Amino acid sequence: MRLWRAAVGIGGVAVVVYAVLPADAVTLRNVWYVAVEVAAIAAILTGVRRYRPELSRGWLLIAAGFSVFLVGDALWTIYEIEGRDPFPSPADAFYLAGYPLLAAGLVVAIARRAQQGRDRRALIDAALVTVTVALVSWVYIIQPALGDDDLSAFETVVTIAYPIGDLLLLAVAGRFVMGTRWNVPSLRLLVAGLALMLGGDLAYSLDLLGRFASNLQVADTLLMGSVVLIGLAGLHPSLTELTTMTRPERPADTVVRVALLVGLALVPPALLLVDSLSDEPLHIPATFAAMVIVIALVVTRLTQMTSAARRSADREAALSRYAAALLRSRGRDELLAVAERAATELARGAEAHVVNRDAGPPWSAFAAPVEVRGEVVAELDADREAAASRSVRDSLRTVAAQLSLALEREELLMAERETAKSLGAQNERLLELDRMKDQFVSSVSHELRTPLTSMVGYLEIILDGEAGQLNAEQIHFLEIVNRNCLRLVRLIEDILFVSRLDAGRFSLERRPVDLGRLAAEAVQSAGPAAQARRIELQLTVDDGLRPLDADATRLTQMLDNLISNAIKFTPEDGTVSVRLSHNDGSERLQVADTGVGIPEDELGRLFDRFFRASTSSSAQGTGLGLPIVKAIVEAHGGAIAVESRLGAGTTFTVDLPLEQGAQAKEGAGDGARIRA
Amino acid sequence: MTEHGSVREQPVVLAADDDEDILELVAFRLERSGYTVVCARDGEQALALARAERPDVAVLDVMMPKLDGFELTRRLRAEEATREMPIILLTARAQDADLEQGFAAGADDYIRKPFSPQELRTRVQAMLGRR
Repeated sequence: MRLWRAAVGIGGVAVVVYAVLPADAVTLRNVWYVAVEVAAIAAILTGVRRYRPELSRGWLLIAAGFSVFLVGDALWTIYEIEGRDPFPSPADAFYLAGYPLLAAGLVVAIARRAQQGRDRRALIDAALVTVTVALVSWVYIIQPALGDDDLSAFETVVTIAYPIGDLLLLAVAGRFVMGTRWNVPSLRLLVAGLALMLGGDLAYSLDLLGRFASNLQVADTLLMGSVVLIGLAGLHPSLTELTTMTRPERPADTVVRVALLVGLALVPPALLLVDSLSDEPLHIPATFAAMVIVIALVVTRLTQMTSAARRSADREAALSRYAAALLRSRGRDELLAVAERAATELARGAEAHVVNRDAGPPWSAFAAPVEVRGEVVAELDADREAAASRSVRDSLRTVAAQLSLALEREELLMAERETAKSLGAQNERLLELDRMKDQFVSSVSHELRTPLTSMVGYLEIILDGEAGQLNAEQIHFLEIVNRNCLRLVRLIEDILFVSRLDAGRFSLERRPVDLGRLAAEAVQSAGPAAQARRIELQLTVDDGLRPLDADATRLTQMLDNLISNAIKFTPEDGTVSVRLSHNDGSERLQVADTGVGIPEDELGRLFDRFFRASTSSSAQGTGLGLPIVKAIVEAHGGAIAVESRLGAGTTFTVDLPLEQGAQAKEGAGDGARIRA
Repeated sequence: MTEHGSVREQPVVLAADDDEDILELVAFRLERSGYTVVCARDGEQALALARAERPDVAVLDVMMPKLDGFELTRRLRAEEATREMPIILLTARAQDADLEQGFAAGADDYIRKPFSPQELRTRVQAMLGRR
């Protein structure tokens, strides 16, 4: 790069020096020009040697073109030193030979870059530029030369040959410029150099015909600039990219390009206008011919644009149609079939197929990968010929991407289905286990009850004295046995109840229930137990209690549990009072005792299964009574609360809502209204 | 054994249970209370005895081999001779659904195990008095 920068500096100085050299220093100017030319050729050769472009032929041809110019210039220098101005001369032959060489150099580069597909747009655009410039050349250079009686036939031919050489260069360079991107510095320099060269030649041609009163110094400076720029282009490292086979990046039709097309199409009529305004003879045939060609090219170009737009729209429509089809399809085989149909349609009939990754080679280099979770599972391919087209490759890639997504989705769905199935099976197993547990508890309680039936029954008979008289001690002991048997029976009942609660098979049979009557019965049946411990059992029922919609059996169970609990934990000579009252749309049951009480930090766990308060050591129980009471209360939509003071007693408060039926029907959302 | 149609001195009770101890308990209690008790150890035997003895009341266990108490009740209700015979079911299965099934089969009363022998006697008396 340092070399290149130095070359830029030298080139700039060379051009400036040349521009300021006095016009009469003919020899110095010519020698200077030739020296710069030699330097430019050396720069190109250095660049080629240094950076080794893939196809050095192109650059070597350009260098050869410059060399031929150099010879012409050297000859010309000799003529000028000798004070001669021959026309035509051998120098002209060398000059004219340079154009085809330069054009050939560009063709090599274009051919290489265009190898991956023809670019008709660039071709047409270059043709448009060439035809328009040709028209201008014809009108202002060639036709005047043909009509110039001062020129001999040979002189006329040589005069015309220059603009024709320029046109050749322009046509090739135009194609070169149109079909590529402007992101390569070497390319920009080359194109700028060619433009200066054409400008210089134009100035020369006009001068030759006496139409342009310029001094030739400007023309020469332009040509010198072109020599420097092309030399620099050959020395820049990016020269390799000009002849490297790259993926053709076709720029879309930009506004600039369309404006250029329109501008070119307007040149022929503009010429006619200028000519008629300046009273020049109108060049009708040439202008007309050029106009026809320009219009034909522009129409072709526009047709191309619209058909490209239509194809792109068709392609979008087909893609979205197949995307929807892929979404609707189920199963790998169906998805692959849809994708193949899509790719075949988009590849314009060239048959496309999905190749399994494990099917082995060969795959074409253009096959599009189908990936599921980052792993290539297959490839989408089309006939080799079709796959070489860029739009087909794009389509294959798009369809492959859609297929990838569809396959991934399919896999997720399958996994989800599997999960649901296994969850269902697991749920089934759990339900079965639950049924077995329930069955087990039920059979165990049955099996336990049968021997207890004999024990309890025979005990009663013995205690009734039916099997002979017993002494007081025997009776006392047998009563202990009896009490414990009954306790076992209760324990079995409670376990069975809790098990049904857990299994969700606990339901209420609601009927209108008179809570006062149930309480009276419960108090009555607890009477003997209370009397045995000289505990006063009181019942207070407020007037106007309304019937509850409730399960009488369960409410009795609840009352029995609460009352027997209270008796159990109350010392002799204590009091247990049962009270029924109204409370805000519910009936309130309170069972209060003057018992041992429950420590405050244990109240929260009081309704836990098998929890025993530290103060309950003296009493017997299953540890299931209060959890069962709570379950019954809550099944009725009610609430239970407990208050206790150690050594002073405990009060359980149960609130049972009056409108349980309504609450159950209307759902929890109306809870607030019912409570209010 | 008493002749069919003759006036029996004591009411006859058919007791059926596969548990020998319970069967003896039922028989003891009821015999002490002045009934004649015929005992069966399974459902089929109970059916045969019911046909042969025409008992005045039957106390049947639900869970019995060969023929369970529900099915036995249905058969007894289906036969002319035993259609009106009061039936009390004894069961250790304490669920409400069982209770309903018993009444649906045609039982008149239902006693849960474990039961008080006194209570059994009271119920049997009630059945006989009702007739």
